[in-house]
Amino acid sequence: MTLLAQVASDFNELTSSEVDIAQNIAFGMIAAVMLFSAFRTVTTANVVHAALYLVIVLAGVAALFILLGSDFVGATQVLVYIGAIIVLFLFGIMLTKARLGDDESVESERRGMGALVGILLLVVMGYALVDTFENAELTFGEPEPIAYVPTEVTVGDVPTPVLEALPDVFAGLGDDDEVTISQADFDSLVPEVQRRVPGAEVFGNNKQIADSIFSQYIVPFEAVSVLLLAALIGAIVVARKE
Amino acid sequence: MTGLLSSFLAVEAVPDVSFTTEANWFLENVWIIPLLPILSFFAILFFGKRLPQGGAEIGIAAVGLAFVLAILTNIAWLDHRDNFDYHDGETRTHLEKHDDHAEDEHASALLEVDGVTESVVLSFAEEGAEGAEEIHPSVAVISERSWFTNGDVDFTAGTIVDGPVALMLFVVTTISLLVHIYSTDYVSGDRRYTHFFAFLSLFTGSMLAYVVSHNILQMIVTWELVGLCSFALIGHWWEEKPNSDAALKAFLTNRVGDIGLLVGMVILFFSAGGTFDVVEINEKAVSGEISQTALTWAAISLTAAVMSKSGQFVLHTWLPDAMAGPTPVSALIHAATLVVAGVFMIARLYPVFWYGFVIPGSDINGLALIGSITVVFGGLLAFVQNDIKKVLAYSTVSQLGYMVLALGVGAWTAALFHLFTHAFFKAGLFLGSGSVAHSVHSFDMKKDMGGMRKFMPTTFKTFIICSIALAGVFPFAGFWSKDEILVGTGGFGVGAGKANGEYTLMLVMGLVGAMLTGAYMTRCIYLTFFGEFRGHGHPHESGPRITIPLIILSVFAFGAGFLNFPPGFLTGDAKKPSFWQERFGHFVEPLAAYFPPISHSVPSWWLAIIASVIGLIGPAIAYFYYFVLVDRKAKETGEKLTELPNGPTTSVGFLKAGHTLLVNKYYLDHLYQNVIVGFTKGPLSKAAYWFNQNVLDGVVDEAGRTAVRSGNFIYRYIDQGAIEGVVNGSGRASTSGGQGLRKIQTGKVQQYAALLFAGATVLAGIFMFVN
Amino acid sequence: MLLNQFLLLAAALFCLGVYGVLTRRNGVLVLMSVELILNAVNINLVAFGAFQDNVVGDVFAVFVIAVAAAEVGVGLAMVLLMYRNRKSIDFTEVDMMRG
Repeated sequence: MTLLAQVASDFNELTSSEVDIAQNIAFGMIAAVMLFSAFRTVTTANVVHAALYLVIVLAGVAALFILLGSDFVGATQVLVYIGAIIVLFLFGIMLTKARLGDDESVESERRGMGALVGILLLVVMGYALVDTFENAELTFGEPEPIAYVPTEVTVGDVPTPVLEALPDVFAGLGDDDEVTISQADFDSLVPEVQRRVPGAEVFGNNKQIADSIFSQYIVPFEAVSVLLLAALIGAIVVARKE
Repeated sequence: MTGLLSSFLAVEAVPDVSFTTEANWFLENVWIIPLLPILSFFAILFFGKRLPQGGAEIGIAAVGLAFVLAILTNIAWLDHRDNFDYHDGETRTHLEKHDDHAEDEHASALLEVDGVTESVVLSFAEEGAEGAEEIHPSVAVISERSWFTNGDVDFTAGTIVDGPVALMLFVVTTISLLVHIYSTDYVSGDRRYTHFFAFLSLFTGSMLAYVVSHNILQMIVTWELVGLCSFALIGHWWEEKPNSDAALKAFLTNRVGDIGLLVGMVILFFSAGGTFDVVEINEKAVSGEISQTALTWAAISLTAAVMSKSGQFVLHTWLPDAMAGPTPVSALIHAATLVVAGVFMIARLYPVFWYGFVIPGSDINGLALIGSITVVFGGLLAFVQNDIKKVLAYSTVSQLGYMVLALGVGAWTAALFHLFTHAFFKAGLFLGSGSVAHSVHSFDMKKDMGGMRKFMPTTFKTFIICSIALAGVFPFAGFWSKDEILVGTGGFGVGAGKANGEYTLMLVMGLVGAMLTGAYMTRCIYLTFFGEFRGHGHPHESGPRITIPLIILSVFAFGAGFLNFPPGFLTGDAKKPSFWQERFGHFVEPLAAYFPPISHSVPSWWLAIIASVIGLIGPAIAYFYYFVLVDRKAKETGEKLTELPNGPTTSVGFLKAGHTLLVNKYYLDHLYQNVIVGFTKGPLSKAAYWFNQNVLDGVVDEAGRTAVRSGNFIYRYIDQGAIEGVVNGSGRASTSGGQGLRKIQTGKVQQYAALLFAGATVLAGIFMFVN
Repeated sequence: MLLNQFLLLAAALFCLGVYGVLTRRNGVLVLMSVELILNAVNINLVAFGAFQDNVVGDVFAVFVIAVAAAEVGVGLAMVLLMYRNRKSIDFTEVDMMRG
């Protein structure tokens, strides 16, 4: 469930197709702004304007991430890109004493060549994408049924994995019977079941991301940290005055 | 095969075992031995410069410790070989299915000789009971750990210890230790003393790691490490252009072979059902589970690698150039490490080469052909060199030819035995030449040496001993190993039908090689140690750190051959080898399910005698030419001669040839008086004199001239012309191609990027529309 | 939402970035264009992650962001160095690789 869908369902009880329309409208607006800004970033003659247009593109990307349900990446995008990298760019602009107004000299005489390559690339990639994925839907499924297990339920509402995990509790009960899952049994489900208490909805996939980074991808993570350190030292060595 | 031996021992049966994972501590933990020098490499690199001896002490300590461990490992192996309870041993392949190679003429011939059918032998093996004297197998010791897993292939890293490994551990550590000690004097004061010792350690370590490799993946890695170290050491004095060129040449020539290595190993990996395990590959090659085609292609590819590494003909050109490196390195390369790696690979993966490289339509193994050509061509080249180390380098080429030849004719044990003896006397020769060069500051025999025996008596004596061993004179080390190889060829029916076939051509080439060996060593000794001193300054004997290794090596050069007395030597009964005969073969030879049957030819007295005589003819001619003719001429004219002014090399045309003939004829009297009369008295002398005058005269003269001429021819046209021509030609082609292409190099980064993107896009588009 | 609308948007951003890298003469602007390319890749990663309903895409997007930060740091340092040595950050003037 994405943030947008969540907000929508909380306040307006929209149907899923209505949510979809809302998402598409949001996407369309973000995409239009991003494309325009990106185009200006690579064409404007004013270096500072280019950086500011870049900010808009990056913010758009962050919005897309949130639209896609990856709020952690979106937050990182805002913090790192808009917060740090853009500042770095502005410093770069200042330190190289670029002209602050329009500066025609930033444009190369080989614009035709670049445009040709860019359009060619877009055609090839676009064709490949349309050809490959056609109308593949992004389904942010309804919240996983297993992710929600209240302690008092009717048996018919209990998700199958839970039924299988606790055969003793549900033995001999019909679908309409009410049952109370004891705290001990509930705790034993924790590996299989996302434990959620009604009223305290957990949102997003931060936990899974953290789990992945610090278990499965610990080596790349450490490598990246070493890379950052090396880049830090390298940048100082390269840029300092003798 | 069930490890059935073709031997003259009674009925033999070897249990179907290959390896064990539990054995003596030293055999299980052999990985420590290569680790020590490799650690020493890093230690020297980091701390060497701060130490009083510049890091040499670390290297010597590490290699010395490795040497002690290697000795202990060998002792453990001796015990394990005979006393291991092999019924616990394992074999990975199940050999119930019919054995393809049993049909092989080699194997079936052996079976017939033994007079039993295979099934009988197998049942003996199963019952291990009466009728068959069960031979104690040589069970390899393997210890391995999982390295990484990719898909369902488990990559392991591990060590294997069996006969050849134990042998190599001893040889490599011994030679390396002596070379280390020698180097402390030889390169003292060098500008990169510490660097030199660091790489010496790494060189030793990577060779040791190569030797104990249990899978072909490790073999590839360590093989390349060995190549890298040789590059660094050959180019040790890289400031001079020829040295860095030589290092590059060695490296690049080896890369040619490395392509073969990779291809061959990949073929083996897939054809053996996705395993890198040496023992498993060998077992499958023996049992016929790897198809003949795959074996053939693998063997051909791997042979390319062997040819480049072990300096076999066509790819040997880098070896003499590699003399640009410091002499201790040359000794290490030629005796124990680099060039031996190729031979060791054949020995390690012997079933692959043995079954795979049989030339279709014949029973001749391609290796035998390559080896025999190399023996003669390498030997001839040694005649026209003036650089003492190049003589020795070509000599190594020739001797490696013997080893490959022996492996090709199935005399596996003989090849390894020759490797063993050769390591000592060739290291002795190289270190000896280094000792001389250290004193006269040059390697040129003609310009800067001569008469050195007066100045350097110890070096002279050890050099002579090693030369005699190299020439294969009874009872020095080279005699025993060379004789075993010659018998192994089975040419003219020697070996009492126990050889793998009648490789008469190989036997003849081997004999010719033996003759050449003696001759060029005589020339080399004369030019270096006899005559008048032609150099400058006052040469003197080298210090003890140089002479003591020389003395140790010459002791080995004398005595190493005694380890493998042929069966029946002095006892006369070849069927029952005594406890002191064939010890080397007994302990080194793998006698297990992962090795093909190794033939043991019955030693032949008359072949030994003929080989000795032929081996002495060469030196005799050379002796006559240099010690008699040149020496006398030099005394007459009072000049410092190295060749006759009108000698065969300079005589062109009929008149000069006639003149030379006359001179030769005249001096033949002296040959007769000094040599023939001196040794054979009585009526034989008159006949011999007549024979000399009328027959040998022409033959000797012609032989001498042909040898020199063909040596010159090969050197100039094939070696320097054709082979170098191809190399230079490809260089020129790429130069002109580059000149044409440089016009599109504008240096504008963004244009490059545009071309890159455009190219990638077009390619992507093509792939997309093609699919 | 369709998967493709994200992918096509990313493709468009990517091509704009390529255009910028190829045509901009100012070093800082070239680096900005590189950022566009990296962000296009990130959109792809996250969109595929959502498509397959796992977090691998997100994890790698985070890695890419970290690497991009390093890249900008080193890249700007190099541009600064170039400016200090040549008093210009015009890429078309750098042609020492000319054959």
